[in-house]
Amino acid sequence: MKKNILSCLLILLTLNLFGQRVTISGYITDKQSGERLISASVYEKNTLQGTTANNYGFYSISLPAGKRTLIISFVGYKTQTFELELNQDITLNIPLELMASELGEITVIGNKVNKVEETQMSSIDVQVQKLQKIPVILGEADVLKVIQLLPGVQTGTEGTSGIYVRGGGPDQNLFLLDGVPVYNASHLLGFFSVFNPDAVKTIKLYKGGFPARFGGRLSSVVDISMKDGNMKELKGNFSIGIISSKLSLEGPIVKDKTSFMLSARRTYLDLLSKPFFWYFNSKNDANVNGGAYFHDFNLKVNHIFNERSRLYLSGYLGKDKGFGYTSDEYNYLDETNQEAITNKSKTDFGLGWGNNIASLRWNYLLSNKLFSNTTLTYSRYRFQVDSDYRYENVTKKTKTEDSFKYYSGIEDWTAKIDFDFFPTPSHDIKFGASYTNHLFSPGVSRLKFEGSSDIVLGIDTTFGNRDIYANEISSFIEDDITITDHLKINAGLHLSDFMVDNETFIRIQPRLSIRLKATKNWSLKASYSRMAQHVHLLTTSGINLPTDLWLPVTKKFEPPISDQVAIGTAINFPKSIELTIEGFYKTMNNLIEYKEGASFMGSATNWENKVEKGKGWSYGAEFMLEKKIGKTTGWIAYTWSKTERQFENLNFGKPFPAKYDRRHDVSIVITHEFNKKVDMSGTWVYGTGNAVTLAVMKYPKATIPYTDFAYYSSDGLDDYGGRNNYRMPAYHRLDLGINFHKEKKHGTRTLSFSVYNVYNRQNPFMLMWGSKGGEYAYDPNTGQYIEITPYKTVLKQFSLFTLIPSISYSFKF
Amino acid sequence: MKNKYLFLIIAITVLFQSCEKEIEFSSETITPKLVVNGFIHQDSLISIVVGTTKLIPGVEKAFTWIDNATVKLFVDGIEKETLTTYDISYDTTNFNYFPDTTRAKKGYHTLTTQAETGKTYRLEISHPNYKTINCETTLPKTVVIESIDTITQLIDPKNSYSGTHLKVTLKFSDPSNEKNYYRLVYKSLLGVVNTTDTVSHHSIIVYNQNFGTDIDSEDPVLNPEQENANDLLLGTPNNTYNLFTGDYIDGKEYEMSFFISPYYMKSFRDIDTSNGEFLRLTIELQSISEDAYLYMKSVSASNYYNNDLFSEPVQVYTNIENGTGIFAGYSSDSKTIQKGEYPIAGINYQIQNQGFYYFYYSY
Repeated sequence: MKKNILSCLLILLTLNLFGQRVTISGYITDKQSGERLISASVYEKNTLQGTTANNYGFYSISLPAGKRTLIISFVGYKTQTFELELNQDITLNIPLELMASELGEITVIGNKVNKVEETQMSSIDVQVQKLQKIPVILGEADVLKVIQLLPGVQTGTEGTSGIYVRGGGPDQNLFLLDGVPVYNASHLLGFFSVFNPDAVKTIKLYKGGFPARFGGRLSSVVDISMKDGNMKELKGNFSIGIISSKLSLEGPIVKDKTSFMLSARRTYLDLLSKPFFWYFNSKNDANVNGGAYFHDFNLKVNHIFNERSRLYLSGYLGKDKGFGYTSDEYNYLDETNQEAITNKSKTDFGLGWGNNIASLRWNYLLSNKLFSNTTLTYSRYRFQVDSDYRYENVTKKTKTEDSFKYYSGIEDWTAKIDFDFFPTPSHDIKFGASYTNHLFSPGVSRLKFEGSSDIVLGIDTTFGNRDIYANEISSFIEDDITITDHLKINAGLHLSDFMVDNETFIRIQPRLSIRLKATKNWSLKASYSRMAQHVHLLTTSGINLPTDLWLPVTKKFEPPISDQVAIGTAINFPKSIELTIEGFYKTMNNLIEYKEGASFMGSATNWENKVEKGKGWSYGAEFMLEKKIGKTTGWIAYTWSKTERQFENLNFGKPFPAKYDRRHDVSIVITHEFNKKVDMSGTWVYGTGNAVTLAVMKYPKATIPYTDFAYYSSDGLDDYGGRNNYRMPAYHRLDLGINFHKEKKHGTRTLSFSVYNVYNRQNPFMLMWGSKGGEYAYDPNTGQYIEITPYKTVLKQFSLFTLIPSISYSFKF
Repeated sequence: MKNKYLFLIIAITVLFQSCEKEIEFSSETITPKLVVNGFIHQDSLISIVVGTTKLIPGVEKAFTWIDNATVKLFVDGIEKETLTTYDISYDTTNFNYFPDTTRAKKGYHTLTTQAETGKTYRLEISHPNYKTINCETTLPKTVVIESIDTITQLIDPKNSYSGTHLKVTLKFSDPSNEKNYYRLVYKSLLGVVNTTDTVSHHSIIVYNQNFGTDIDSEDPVLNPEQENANDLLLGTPNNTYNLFTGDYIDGKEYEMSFFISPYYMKSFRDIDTSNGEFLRLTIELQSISEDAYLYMKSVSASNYYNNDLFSEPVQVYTNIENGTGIFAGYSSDSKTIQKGEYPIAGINYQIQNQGFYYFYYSY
């Protein structure tokens, strides 16, 4: 009996026996480029039923048979309306045409969904085309630096692209590039992110209310998809900036069948630093050289076999390199003072790191209601240091060589399959499973001594940590359910099973989002999500060092877990103005921090003895007012938040503010198009000063037997009064940029000028004790020096970037 | 044209202005604390000094020492005696370049209680102006040096510490099933010919030195940190106090090798015993309490990292409840090796009690 009822329910669910239904499905694309549009809206006017296109532009909607009016809309594109007489399932591929702006200029807005309509909360779509216009340091557009301007996201060190989301640490962000995790999203110690804006199609940040398809990190998901490549015609763009140049090409290989996208960039700090070394060497009679640069490539090729089948191959290769060398030659007399000895020495030093990422994805439409996506991915991050010292006694013809190599990294192979199932307009079901094989290489060193000298032994040894293999299986199911026109929920479950060193960690992660639409333009939302993370990041500092190591969880340091609840509201105002207000409370367990006095410093050896386990919590409110289209666009974002950590053996067990705990964060981003030829943008940011650990008192150091003077204590030790005990002054700055466009014979030339920190605010980067005074003058009457100003210890603030103008040139064809 | 130059001058001035400025320090929530410092040693009276913390900003002031506190001693939980103050005397002969104001004039010590290994000592220190503070330490048991061997060895000439070193191999057994912390130090009594003695040509200057540092070793127990990427990039603190733990050798007999550099001491090989020169070297293996280990390790790390942009400052370990400082203990065993004879009748010795290694200050 029970079986029969279940069967009937399933039939009802899939066939929806409330009258005959037919299914309309297809792809929504950009008419000009053939690029598939993610999250475009499909809506039937009479039944008030609707759906949105998935990540591959596919939509499917089942409607009662009869005369129906289908409205297809996507922000920035002309809305299309179809009058259809439905009596059987049909395929309807819809190319949308870009909307001309009021100024006659084509304005691409990127993927945008209606915040009031969607169940998803705590997520923001970043407009890729706007991203290029927002002024940033040195004029280099950067995906993560724009994400830093969003509510709920704190920045790390000024100028770097690290993000701290809703009280989470830098290791708690999952960066996905075409669905592949990126382990180190930084170039040049974080001054650039690895995501080249020219290669990016969509960027979506999730801060909470995580859909069940995501897992693996506690605090955020940054889901970035690369452009597929123009199916219609060859397009390109190149730009030259102060420290980097870029080139992008995209176009059809076989028109409307196969296309490619290629993007490459390189910085030239190494070339720019050459004159400084030349000057230094000429002044100091030295031979020193060095530099740093990075280059990266994005490539994507895709092929449409038929309406049902499409294959994507995408890849990213990025490499950072830093190098330095010195050489020296000197002469001296030997011990007997009889013979002149000539020695030569040379030191080479190099470090390099980078990500290699690849994915092979096959979209296959099993039916007009079931879309499948099968993916094989590869992600590798590797860091390497080489150091080589060569010493030659030319006179005695002896040579020695010491070389040292170190490398660390992580490598993942993943196979996954996921499905989008659209049984009825009331259900959008996603489910899937994946298997990942992780290889952690937490630091292996090779030390080599070779020499002809009689006192040096030949040594060639490799030491360090063994490779660690881990297997991860995860599965998920989520359903976006329309219960009534007013009430929608997204319920899901993410299950992860991580196996390492004969230990198995199974974590069940429920997710729930609810949307209650009060009026057409106003909805209330709530969500709960549990996230688990199976990797720890060992890092010593606030900046992104390439030596940071990923390690699997262990029995002692179990997977960190976060539980987050959020409530919020979304309101649409006229003129495409959206307001979102959200509040959140998040707890995090099994976090790690270094023991006081312990340091990791690039080695994973005995790391479990060097860290402490603790917990953290964060709560706050976020406000975002955004105008998406028109002459003037942009947003105002404000965040109030508090983030604390508590570890039994740190800070004497008392809670302390997290490193990037900030009470207030404000960002205002505005772009304005004066006319077809000129647009201008401005950004103003304000943040409460960072919490820093600053010594506030001194106390006498104990006499350490055999080492120090008896009770000597003129200097003393620092007393901090607690971890992150002191607040730096507030941070704020204004950036302005102006772009001049000119139509040329073969394309559009853009000349961009920007000024970072326009009013030259000296923002705090670091606080340090310094001194002033202590001036003395000679008194000829007494023959002694007299103190004029007393020597005082004062607090000094150091700033990193004051006013920085920049210029760049780009040409789009 | 003039305007162009003016613009250029302004631009350069703005771009290259100093990025450093003085800011106001907010001290509203900061209250001074009592400081206790004392290392106790087996078979010695227990002595400490008591002072206070001072705010960092402002005109430099000497530390304030407290000589009117009440210091009660508890041994294994039982109140034993109240410590009395005593005058601390300094031999200023060699150290007169450090002002007296920086040192405590008075300390507190026991009159009868001597520290014994295995016992736990707790101090309760009260003062009307400060919170009462407590501290406790257990004196570790002595770990005996089983043997000591020495050879001289020439170190790689490209090394800045090149030359003839004395290689010392020390054998000891780590007590099993307990957490043990150690420190290696040595004392030297070195007699060399007084080259300035142009009268008798027979006088010997005797340098009496204690070395807490200056040991060179690649022993994995003494230097367990492997060379790694960040070592190369950023460096790591030296093992300033020659600390190590028994973690890797729990319950085992172990032979530890290290070099004593001739850099600060006349080469062992070069001592001319026929002229009356000599070297007496005492190697001491200290068995230190966990408190002592954590304190010394964090002092060393804080000195290294606290001005480092890349690191979180290291807070120095303290076991003083409601205050700061350290109250810890150590016991020790030593072995002495000697080249040459001392004293020899008829030789005029001029003793210089250097007492510590002063060429290089350890922090």
